[in-house]
Amino acid sequence: MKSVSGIESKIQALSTELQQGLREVQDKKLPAAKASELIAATLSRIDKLGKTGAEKQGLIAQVLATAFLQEIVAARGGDTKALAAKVGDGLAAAVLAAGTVDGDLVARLKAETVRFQAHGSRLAARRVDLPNLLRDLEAGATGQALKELIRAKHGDDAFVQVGHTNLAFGPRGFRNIKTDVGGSFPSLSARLSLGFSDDAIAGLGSQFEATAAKMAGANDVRILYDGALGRLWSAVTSVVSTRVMTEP
Amino acid sequence: MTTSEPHPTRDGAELLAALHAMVSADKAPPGLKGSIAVGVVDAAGALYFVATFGKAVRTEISDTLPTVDAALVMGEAEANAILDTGALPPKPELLVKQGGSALLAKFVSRYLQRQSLLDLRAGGAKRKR
Repeated sequence: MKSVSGIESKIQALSTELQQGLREVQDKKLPAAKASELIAATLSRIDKLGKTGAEKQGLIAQVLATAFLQEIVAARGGDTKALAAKVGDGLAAAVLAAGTVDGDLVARLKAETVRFQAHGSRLAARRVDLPNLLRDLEAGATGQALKELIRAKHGDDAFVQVGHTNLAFGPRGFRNIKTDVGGSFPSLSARLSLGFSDDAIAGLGSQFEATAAKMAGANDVRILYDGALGRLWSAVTSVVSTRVMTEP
Repeated sequence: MTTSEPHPTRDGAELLAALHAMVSADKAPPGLKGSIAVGVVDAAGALYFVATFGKAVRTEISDTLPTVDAALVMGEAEANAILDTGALPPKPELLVKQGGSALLAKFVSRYLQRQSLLDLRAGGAKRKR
């Protein structure tokens, strides 16, 4: 039986390997084609560490989350503990300074979103394409409606990862890309289909999903919701995408 | 390793992802009970880091705000400032909370500030060398 500390140690090592490898690809110290290999090899090794599907998925989620944290740290300098300290200090100050909302917080936040959109921020400009259309459609949309919308906009050969949903459309048709690993990053569209294990594993954001799509044979990978995934994922994107849409 | 390039996508969801990773990696008993959410709102909508503490810890990032005991929500600028500097911007645009501040403070103290103190000491020792 593997000890907990042994697995933790392997998770840490695999996370570091993944993050550093992808960083080297981004920095052009490794050929671009290495990114897909690296991801597949790392995920395959993680897969072997777990026994059950749930255990494997949990391990994968942990490695990806750790790799992501390492990348956030690497982009800012310092180390994980220093970042935790900054976040702790900042959140402590925020808890003290925050105004209390007595009424409907969700309604208030919707209003804030509208206000931010009205400011015409750069991010809003980047995200007004399909994700916004889909939000409008959300209440009554069916898979068929989304499929037709995507096909009309991007053609049959495009892989399209759709906003905060599980839905994707690619050479193999319209797919519901599961599985959400342990609730990890569902809202960052963290679904990746590589076809091993239980037919699907979670990835970390649209770029990972795009990687999977590319590996699965998609010719044209378009990312419509770029998320907040930073340098690491941009590196992956640059490797796998023939076209990346970050603007309408 | 090149680290001087600007970060290409700097929206506040990184703060949530960092929280998610930090809390998920901590396998010790939580020592607190209840549920919290930390949210970031930007032009695309809101994202939340949600954690439920009991005998075990459950964490997720969600685009809907579930019913929680305490929520702290901020704008993208505030989230990025916290991640980059450990402080709030001089005039926060959006910073609200709902529910128990005490639980939020316990969460911060348990998962972030305790590490912070240790790290500050370690960092101080390194700098003196």
